[in-house]
Amino acid sequence: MLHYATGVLIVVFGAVHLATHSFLGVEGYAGSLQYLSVIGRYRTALFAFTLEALLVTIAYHGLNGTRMILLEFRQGERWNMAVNWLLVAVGILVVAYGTRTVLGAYLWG
Amino acid sequence: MSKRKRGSTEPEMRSARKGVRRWLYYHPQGLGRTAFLFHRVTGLGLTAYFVVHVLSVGTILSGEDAWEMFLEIVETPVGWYGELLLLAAIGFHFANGVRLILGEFGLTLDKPTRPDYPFKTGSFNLAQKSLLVLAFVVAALFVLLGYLFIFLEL
Repeated sequence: MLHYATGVLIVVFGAVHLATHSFLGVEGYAGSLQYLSVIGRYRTALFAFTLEALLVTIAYHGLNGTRMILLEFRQGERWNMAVNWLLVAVGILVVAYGTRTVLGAYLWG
Repeated sequence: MSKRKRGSTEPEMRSARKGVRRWLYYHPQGLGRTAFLFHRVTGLGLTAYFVVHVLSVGTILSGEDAWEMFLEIVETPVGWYGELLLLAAIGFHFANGVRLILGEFGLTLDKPTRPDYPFKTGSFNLAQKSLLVLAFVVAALFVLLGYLFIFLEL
C-alpha cells in the first residue's frame, strides 16, 4: 500500500520538480540550471521541502520496486534477507547523502 | 512465472492481413504483458537514474565553479537526448502506474461474472486497454514537451 501512496506523492512533488525546471519562476530550462537559480530554490523552504520529499518517496518507491523484482527472481530465506538489508542500506545511504545536499544548501548555501 | 497459452490475442491468420496495423495487434503474450515488461524496465532505469542524480547533484555544495564544471559534462547533446529518454520513461511509468492503481482498487474493471465461453477478461477490458494506449501517448507527450523546453528553449 505504501508503494501506491508513494507513487501518488511522487506524481505531485515530481510535477513541481519538472515545473521548476521549465516554466515555474525560472528563465526556461537552461536558466533553471544556473548556480544562483538552483541555490535560490534550495534556500526557499517550500522547494527545499519538495526536494526532500521527492528524495524520500522515490527512494522508497524505487528500491521497493527493485526489491519486488529481485524477490521474484529467486526465492529463499537467505536471499530475502540479503536483498532486504542491501536495499535498506542503499536507501539509507542515498537519503542521507541527499539530505546533506538539501540541508547544506538550505542552511549555508 | 507460469508458461501460459496464447491469451485473447488476435488470431494469426487475421493479424497477418492487417499489414502495418498488425504491429499494433501483435502481442504474442498479451498486451498486458508488454505493459508489465515496460513498467519494470522503466522502473529499474528510473531508480538507477535517481541514485546517480542524487549523488551527482550534491556538487551544488562545492560552489559555483564545481557546479559549472558539472553542467559542462551533463549539458551536452548526449545529455539532452538522454533527458528525452528519461522523460519518455517517466511519462510511461507515471501513466501506466495510474492505470495499475485504478485497477488495484477495482475502478475501471468489469463486474465479476460466471466464467462462460468465450471467457472475456473483465480485468483487461476496453477501459484498461485504452488507458494502456494512453500511457504510450503520455510518454510521447512528455518527450515532445521536453523537446520544446530543452532544445527549443521555450
